Amino acid sequence: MTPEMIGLYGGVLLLVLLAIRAPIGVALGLSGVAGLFALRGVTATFSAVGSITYDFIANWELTSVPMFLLMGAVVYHSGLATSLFRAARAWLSFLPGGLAISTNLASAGFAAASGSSVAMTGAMARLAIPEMLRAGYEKGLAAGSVASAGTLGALIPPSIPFIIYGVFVQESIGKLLLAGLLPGLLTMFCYSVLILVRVKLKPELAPRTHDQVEMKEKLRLLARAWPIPVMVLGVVGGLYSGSVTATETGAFGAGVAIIASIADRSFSWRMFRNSILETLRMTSAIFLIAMGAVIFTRFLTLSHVTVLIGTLVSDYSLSLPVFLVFVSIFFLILGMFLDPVGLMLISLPILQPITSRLGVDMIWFGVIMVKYIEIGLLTPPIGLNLFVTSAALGREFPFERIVKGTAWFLCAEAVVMILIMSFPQISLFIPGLSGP
Amino acid sequence: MINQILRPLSGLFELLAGLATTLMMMHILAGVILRVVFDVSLLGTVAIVSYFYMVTMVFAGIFVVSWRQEHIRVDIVAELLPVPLRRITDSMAELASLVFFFIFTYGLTYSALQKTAVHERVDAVFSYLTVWPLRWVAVAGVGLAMLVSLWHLYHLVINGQLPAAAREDRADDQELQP
Repeated sequence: MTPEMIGLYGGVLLLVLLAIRAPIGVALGLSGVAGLFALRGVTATFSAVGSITYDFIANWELTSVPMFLLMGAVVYHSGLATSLFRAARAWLSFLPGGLAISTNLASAGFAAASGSSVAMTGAMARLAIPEMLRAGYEKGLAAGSVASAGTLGALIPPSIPFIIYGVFVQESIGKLLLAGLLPGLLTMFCYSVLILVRVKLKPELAPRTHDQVEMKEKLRLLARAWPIPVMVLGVVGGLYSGSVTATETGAFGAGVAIIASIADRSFSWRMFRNSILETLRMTSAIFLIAMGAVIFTRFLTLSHVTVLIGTLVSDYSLSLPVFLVFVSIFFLILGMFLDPVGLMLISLPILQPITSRLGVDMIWFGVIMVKYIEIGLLTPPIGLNLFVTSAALGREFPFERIVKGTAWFLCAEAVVMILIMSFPQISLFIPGLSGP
Repeated sequence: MINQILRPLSGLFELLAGLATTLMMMHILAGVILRVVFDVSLLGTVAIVSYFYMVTMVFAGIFVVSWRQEHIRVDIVAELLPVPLRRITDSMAELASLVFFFIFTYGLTYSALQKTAVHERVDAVFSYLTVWPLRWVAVAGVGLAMLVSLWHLYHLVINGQLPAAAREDRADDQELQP
């Protein structure tokens, strides 16, 4: 049997294992191991499995993942996210759909302190949706604005998918994190405009709230959210200057969040313990997938499937626009079924030979990929953000309303994606300005 | 019986990985503050964080995540299946986990024996750090995850469902959420 055929069988085994509900990391790892057995024999396989996975984990750049997860966990458990939402609400509730726009803005702020979309959606769903429903907001708008705003978490730095992507394609993690900033803000802007226009055209979607908040109270609420700007300054400023690494900005952010919770008297050992445990569980779950992907990638490389894909691209003279259309369809379909990190790590070994053959800028492509895997969080049947929103609201809140409400935001996402793909500078401008 | 061993070990590894996470944050933060404020480098931070805290946290965490049945999976196809067939696919998935964790443990042990024999050390700028014992933490974490898969498989085959112990642990934790 040719190595290429073994490579294809390995791909089929991966799909079967995913279908029977094996953990994604196990599915990737076992398919890779089976393929390596067939290609290189038992001893070489055991040696590779033991050494490449361990060396992959003992890696300074990857340590930024737990630090950013910890930062987000402390922000959530300490109640800082609540302060942020209250401040946004006090300042923006005068706008049509003001509560939904506040949610959007608070999510962007929370995104600057958290690298995980799903964690962010869970937090904002519990905070914002009950407030919107009490104010008489249409259920779909309330749930849709929370589910979609959650995707900002993976774009606005820090971002876990960008770090993992950077390690796999060997691009600067600092530049990748900065590359997500403008697309993240653009997405937030498009969401806000969408809410504003919809509520202007159909005011019954979001009745005006008559909150009369005095300026003194507004300033007090804003002051309580002080750690967020400090974190943004620390993370974005540090990455931009190039003077600190992504890991260091993560530890700095986590430290600021803990100090803020002590100052705010919301610190407790129970809160701290929960934040630490949540961080280590999420980190280990993500890294099992990443280690599986490392084994699978080694197998695909040895099977020459990656070379075969590159040759096919040359033979068929695949152009960049056609490739982008193919990538869009690929991610929109797979995004409906796969978890974001899993989707990224399964598709990277297949797409990377094509991007290198076409000479695609890998930072720009990283933004496109992360945007698509985040859109996958909003598309049924497996849109994780839809489920997280639904879980936070309970069974009495119809799931279909969440899906319908989110569909409007997917239209805004289509506009954002066209802009990002047409104008690479949206992604590349800030990294181009930053230090080495 | 195996439950009585795995449950306290899961708590112990959770504590170990939690300590590694806390120390990682404090160590990096101390390094940044010393460098930015006092222009002093905390030598060896990269080696200590990467080889000690990170390895302990991830590999001990894999056992904890396995014990709590919190690995990330794709549910869509399995949820469409009728219950009797679902039991078979669940058992096959657990068997796949068992086989993978066995090979993974074997591979890590193979590598750990080699590195132990040469007393593996890494350059930490100020000195060479002995790091081979961490290889055995990785072996322990993945090896225990393999035992968890074996225990899950036994329950699936005998009782037709996964054991309740991990679900009880998760429920205890949810009561602690704000």
